[in-house]
Amino acid sequence: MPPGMQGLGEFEQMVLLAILHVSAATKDEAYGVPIVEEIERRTGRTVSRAAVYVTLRRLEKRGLVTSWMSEPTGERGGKARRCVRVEPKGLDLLRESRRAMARMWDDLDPEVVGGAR
Amino acid sequence: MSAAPPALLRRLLEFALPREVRDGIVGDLDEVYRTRRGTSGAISTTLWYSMQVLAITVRFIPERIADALPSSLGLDLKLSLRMLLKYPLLTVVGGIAVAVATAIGVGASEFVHDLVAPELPLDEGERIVRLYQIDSEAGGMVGASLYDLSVWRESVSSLEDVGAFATMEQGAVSDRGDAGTVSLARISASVFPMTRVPPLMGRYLTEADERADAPPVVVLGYDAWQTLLDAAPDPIGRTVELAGTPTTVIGIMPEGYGFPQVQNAWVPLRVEPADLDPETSPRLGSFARLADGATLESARSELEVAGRRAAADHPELYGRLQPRVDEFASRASGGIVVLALSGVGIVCILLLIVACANVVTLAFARMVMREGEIAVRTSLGATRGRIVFQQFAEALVLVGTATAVGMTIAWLALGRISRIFFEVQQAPRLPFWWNDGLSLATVVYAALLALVGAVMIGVVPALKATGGTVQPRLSQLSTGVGGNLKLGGRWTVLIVLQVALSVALLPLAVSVDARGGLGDARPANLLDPMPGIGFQPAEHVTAQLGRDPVVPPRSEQEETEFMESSRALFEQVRERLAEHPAVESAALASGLSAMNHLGVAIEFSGDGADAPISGGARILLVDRAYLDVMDAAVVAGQALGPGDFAPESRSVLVNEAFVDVVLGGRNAVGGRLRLGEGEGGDLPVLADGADIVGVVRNPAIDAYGPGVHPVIYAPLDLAPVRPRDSGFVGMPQPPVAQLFVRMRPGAEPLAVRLYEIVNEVDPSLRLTAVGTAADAWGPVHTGGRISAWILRAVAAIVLLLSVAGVYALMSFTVSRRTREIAIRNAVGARRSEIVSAVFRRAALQLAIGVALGSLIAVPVLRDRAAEGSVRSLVIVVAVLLAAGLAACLIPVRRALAIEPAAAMRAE
Repeated sequence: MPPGMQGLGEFEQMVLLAILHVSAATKDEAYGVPIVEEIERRTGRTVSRAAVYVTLRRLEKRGLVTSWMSEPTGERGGKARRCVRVEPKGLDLLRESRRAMARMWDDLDPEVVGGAR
Repeated sequence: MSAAPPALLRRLLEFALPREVRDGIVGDLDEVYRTRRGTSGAISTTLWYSMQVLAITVRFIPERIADALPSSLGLDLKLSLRMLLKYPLLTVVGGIAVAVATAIGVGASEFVHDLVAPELPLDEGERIVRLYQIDSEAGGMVGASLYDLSVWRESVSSLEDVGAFATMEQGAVSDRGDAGTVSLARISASVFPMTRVPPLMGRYLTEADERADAPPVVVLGYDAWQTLLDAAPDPIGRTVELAGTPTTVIGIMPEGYGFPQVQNAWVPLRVEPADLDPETSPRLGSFARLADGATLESARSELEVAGRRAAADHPELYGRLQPRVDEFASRASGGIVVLALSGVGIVCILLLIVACANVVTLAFARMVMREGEIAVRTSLGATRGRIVFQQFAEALVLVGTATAVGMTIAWLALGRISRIFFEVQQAPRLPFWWNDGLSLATVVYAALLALVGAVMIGVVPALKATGGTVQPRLSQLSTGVGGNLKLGGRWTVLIVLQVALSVALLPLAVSVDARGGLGDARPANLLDPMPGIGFQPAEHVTAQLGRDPVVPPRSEQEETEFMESSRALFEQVRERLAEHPAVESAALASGLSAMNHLGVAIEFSGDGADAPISGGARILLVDRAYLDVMDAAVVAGQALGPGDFAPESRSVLVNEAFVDVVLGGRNAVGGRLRLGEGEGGDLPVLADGADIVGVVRNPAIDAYGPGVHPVIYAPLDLAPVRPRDSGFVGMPQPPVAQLFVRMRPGAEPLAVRLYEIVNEVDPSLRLTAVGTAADAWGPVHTGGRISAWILRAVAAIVLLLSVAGVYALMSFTVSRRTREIAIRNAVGARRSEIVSAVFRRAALQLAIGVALGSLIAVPVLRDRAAEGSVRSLVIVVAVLLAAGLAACLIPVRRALAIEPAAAMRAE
């Protein structure tokens, strides 16, 4: 498997999906704060901010997301937002992860599957 | 309150993050911080923010470090960080030890360096020199005279801009009535081109200002402009009154300029023809700059020639004088300063030796625990060099981080400690060249030490562990009883040494008096460092009274006259104060105990002693009222009577502490005191021998409480009591006297009236450092407390290290015997026998260590008779024994739990 095309971890998938959700709702303005909120809201779990930032950095290094700086704002102590967008490669991997997971569920005893759905 | 996160945490976060993501993440946290503060409150939000910063820092720091290094090293370091987290004992204990060692070492060396060989923060400051003469008969330094300087200006081509100065603290009043004190220099105009610092405003002094008929002018320093003229935007042309003379301000120097030492006002030094007569020429401070192409050596040889010529021309005046030139701020007598600091310094070094030995021991013990891992890595193909380098990287991360922490602590502490040091010296402010920062040399030195430390802690044990062949280590691993890193009897030696060193050094260090070092007569215990000061601070006011000559005296007679008139004025001030209704009594003395207070070696003969008794004591010259003010009644013999204040009198008093400590309880009255070997200085009262006529109760007022120092009270003579040349700057020049006032209970504060009285007696008098006794001794106490805390911290850390070291060694040696214990258990030995055999051996090792350590500690502690030191010895021994025996318990229990059949099978 070429570099950058290794599978995605569960948390990486969550972060990528959260970016997609936030981008859709905010016209491409996904950055750290709403991404964390989105994951927490949808999973009902508390998420370590540090883990999100480290994951974003790793995803960017793998070329799965790209980032750019917005205009600085006063409410952030004059600091700009680092906005992120999922790249086609990231989207492909997300889809592939989903399919892989679905294949893993396939052919299982309906009793087992039913409990999970 | 600001809604921004705490600045320090925010800076830490910025430091931890890689540049590319820094703004985004810091901004995100700012944003959430602000939102949360509105709902959760400041404390909870700050706590949340701290946790976020911590979590993010931990996640990103390895990346930050790894990014800065080549890729293979980055991998090593990442692994190192992981290993450091896996073995927290070594990381925490070793890290603290190295950080404290670095903080103390770096701080002390930087401080001594700044004190003894500072660098002037001026353009080519190292080429600025001072000139003086050595008196080969009297054996001291004397200033160069104006005559000398005029000769050298012509004949020594290696020097340019030669000039002279006299410094003094001078009362000053602005044209708008604001009063204050300036540190004034009467100085040759060449000082300004020589230091190459242009004025901030106006102009500086020129040769024309030095003429006798020129109008009086002054150049003010930045802070004098700020305080005396209230930072007026148009200070040039304003008038300030200096010693009663209206003087025009012609210039303001930039902030930080204080040449020659701490000055903030400069007036021209006027030289009259009589000043250039070799016989009466005044001796002042001097400066010059090395001419282009000249060196200190070329200036020295030219001055030597000039000195020989002067000796030939005026043998009676110059026969015994030798001209000298040195870098301006260097202190030839810096040795004294170093000695003064060495009390604490030596103890710290001793403690740090133990500390470092312990870190290496811990590293060894850990290496043994990792022997299996190393054997497996070797068998998988890792080279010995690779493994050793990995261990080195691990140690480097630990030592490097700890060194950085230690240097930060030293940097933060230096500024504060310097200020206290100069306050204790009663300097008006820090010398202008004083630098609170760390020099590049110090940083490089510390970095080199960190490398050496990393080699000791990482490489040495790794080399030992990777020696020999892999197979036996692997096969022994498979039996589950550990590898073959055998040190045999050396482990026993290490344990014994470890215990012995701790027992020998710790109580000794703990018992050192933070105030007086090992040599002080009555050590106090560190665990009880500051006895109460023993008086009502608010009821005692003290101040320094001084007077500076407007023109330096030209002859001995002029100087004597000046001293005598000053003495009469000081006495007038005292009388006026004593009459004041708020004042119960007022007295004068030569100084304030513990601050610039003369300590001398003396010899006592009398009370049937076969040989003179030697000892140390402080000398205070006091007037008749002093002991009353201090509530120090005569308990034996008699008080000083009027006749004892006559010039030929040789009567002195001593305090009870002198009788107890120096004389061991003998009868002091009627005895005779002489200065000890090698003591000189201007102490006529003792130079020819003095008679003790009485003993007084330890005064209630003393910096450290009654009776801490043995003191000799001699009749006050305001002729110069010069502090011995110790190279400290900014010390008050004679004549000075310390004024002590005892207020009536409940009386109104006196400070303002005190200034008025002094001014009414004579405007040329200056009053400085006015405050209660508690104010005056504040810096001494703070300094003492800081020293005590440093020693305490080091002692606590060394004890921690010792316990960790002994525990690691003990538990390791018992673990080594797992197989033996298990087999003995399997073949039917009684458990109690096995356990007692293990503990017997451990107890023997500990006992030998304690005995060896006590051989050193006990005689020293007995001599010093400090109760607390014996207590510390008992505590140290108890803690080490407990740690040692506890270390045996766990491995023995584990070994006994092995199934006998399993033990036999392995065999």
